[in-house]
Amino acid sequence: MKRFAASELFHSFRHNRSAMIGAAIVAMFVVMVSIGPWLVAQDPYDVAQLELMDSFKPPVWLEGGVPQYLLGTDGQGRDVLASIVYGSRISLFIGFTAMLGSCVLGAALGLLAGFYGGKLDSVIMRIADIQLSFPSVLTALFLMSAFGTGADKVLIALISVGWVVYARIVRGSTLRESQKEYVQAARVSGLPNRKIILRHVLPNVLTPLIVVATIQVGTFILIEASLSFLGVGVPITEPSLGLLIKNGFDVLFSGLWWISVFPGLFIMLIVFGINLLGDFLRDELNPRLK
Amino acid sequence: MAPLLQVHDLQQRFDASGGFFDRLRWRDGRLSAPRRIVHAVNGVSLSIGRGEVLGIVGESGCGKSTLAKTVIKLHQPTGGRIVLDGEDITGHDFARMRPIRSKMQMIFQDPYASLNPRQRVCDIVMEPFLENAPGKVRDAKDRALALLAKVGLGPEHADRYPHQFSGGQRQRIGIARALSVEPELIIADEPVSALDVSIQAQILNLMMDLKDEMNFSYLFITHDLSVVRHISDRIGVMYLGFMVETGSTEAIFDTPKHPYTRALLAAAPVLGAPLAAAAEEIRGEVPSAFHLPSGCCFRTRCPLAFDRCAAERPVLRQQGDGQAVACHLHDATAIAPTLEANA
Repeated sequence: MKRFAASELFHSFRHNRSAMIGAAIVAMFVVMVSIGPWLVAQDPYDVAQLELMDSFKPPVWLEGGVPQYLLGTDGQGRDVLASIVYGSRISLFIGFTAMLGSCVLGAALGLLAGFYGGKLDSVIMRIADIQLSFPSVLTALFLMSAFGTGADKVLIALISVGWVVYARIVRGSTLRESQKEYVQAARVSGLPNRKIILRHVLPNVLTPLIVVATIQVGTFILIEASLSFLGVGVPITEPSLGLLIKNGFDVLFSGLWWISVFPGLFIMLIVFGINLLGDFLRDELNPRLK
Repeated sequence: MAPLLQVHDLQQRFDASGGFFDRLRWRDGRLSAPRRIVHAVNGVSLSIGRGEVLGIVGESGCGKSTLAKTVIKLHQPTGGRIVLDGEDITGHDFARMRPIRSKMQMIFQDPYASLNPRQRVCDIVMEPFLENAPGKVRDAKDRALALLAKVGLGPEHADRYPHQFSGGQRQRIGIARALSVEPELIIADEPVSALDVSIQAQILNLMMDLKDEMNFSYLFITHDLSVVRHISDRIGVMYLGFMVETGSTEAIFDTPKHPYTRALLAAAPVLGAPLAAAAEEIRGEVPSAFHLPSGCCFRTRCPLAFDRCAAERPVLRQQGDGQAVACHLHDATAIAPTLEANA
């Protein structure tokens, strides 16, 4: 059945142009972050490779631009394109890791809440409600100011913001699936709850989880960018795309627009690609929309 | 020999009142949080001998399914006793129920919901067996194929997923799953009501053939009188969570005593027979299980109800030949309603 579903999914994928565009964009980013550092000439964070003389060079097609720096340079003579390649690595890493982390945490809590119900359910879901009533950036901002900066702390902040969505979705599906007779059959078979949850409930609540997880990567990249832009995200030594925007922001109104705008465009592009893919998966995997 | 399953005065109530804030009411100038209790099963007693088929009939919502699910301990009973094979399993928790599971299995109503859509057929049918006999994994596949063959499915079906099967085939898979631990009692909760009429007979015949071959007992829940007549040795008629009449299949069909049983039999269309007399017709709706009527549960719809029916709840009384009725009309010690009317 797996092969069958995969081929059906692949078939509709082939006939969905926006899904293919989304996949192409994501694939491009994956290639960029995996082999990009070997393609660009400069490591922007190796001070020895920087030429202060080359600072504030505009993109190559503008007057004063040099072919060496396609998208121009910043105040320290860092190649903007090279910074974007390195920054995308950090942004994507944080986005995917935060997604995986909050997916696992949220799914586990959602399964427990939905399966056992009662007080456990009330406690978990009330925490989730409280969490949801705060804007996620605000919560993350608060956590970051408490923990301090750093990629690991950004991850903790994002996961503690992001698990809620998964928990709610998984709880809803778990409630529905747990009522079904196959779960009762498993109980009659003498399966302990742990096995019922892992073998019977979890595989049947995965589909909506996959859809949300996809879109959430984009959201996490955006939140991380916002945090870094506000100065509480990643430190200057491991700059993400958001931090690049912030660095360029200081000189944005002096006409040196390329330092901020190009990283911004790349964030837009990756989130756009991920969302196109997510929309496709949502339409395809949701039986009600078929 | 002691019967395989004995159920004494089984009761099952559910609290359907929801959370505290859902229950909160403002009444007579006071805040209260009343509970809404569903009286699903109200003191049902039954017994099943080895190799016997006990059919339970009744309208939708009369508590038949709850009775089945309570007997197999999917619900913890709120009262009464369940004795299986001489062992009182009423209070058994999960761990103590585990060895019992291989004695008692269940066939479910909805063949579409009772199979995990993400499990292969061979894994589905072997699940109870592997759970109850760990370590015998080696010949599991062979056993699965043998089981499938027993219910009329081929080895080519073993690696497929449930959605590739029809309703009847799915129910065969469900039966194979129940058989995998070679149980002594199978509880069948309306196993054919979700199937096409043309398939129902096939599945029923399969179930009866398997019973004859493996000599287990059935607690067979259904609302279909023709089904219950076809397969049962004895029949219990349920109404609103009460057992109103029990007896052998012949007795119930030939000499039904309870007004409800009579109405039920009269309401079932029989091919070639004239439509039933209007006198046996029951009017109105089943009363709410939240608020049981006082006395006899059937009095609100019974054409023969009299004073005593509202005052006193009738109990099952033996009428001879193993037939028992819970009705004041059949209480020999009572004053007949006609006499009372004359007095």
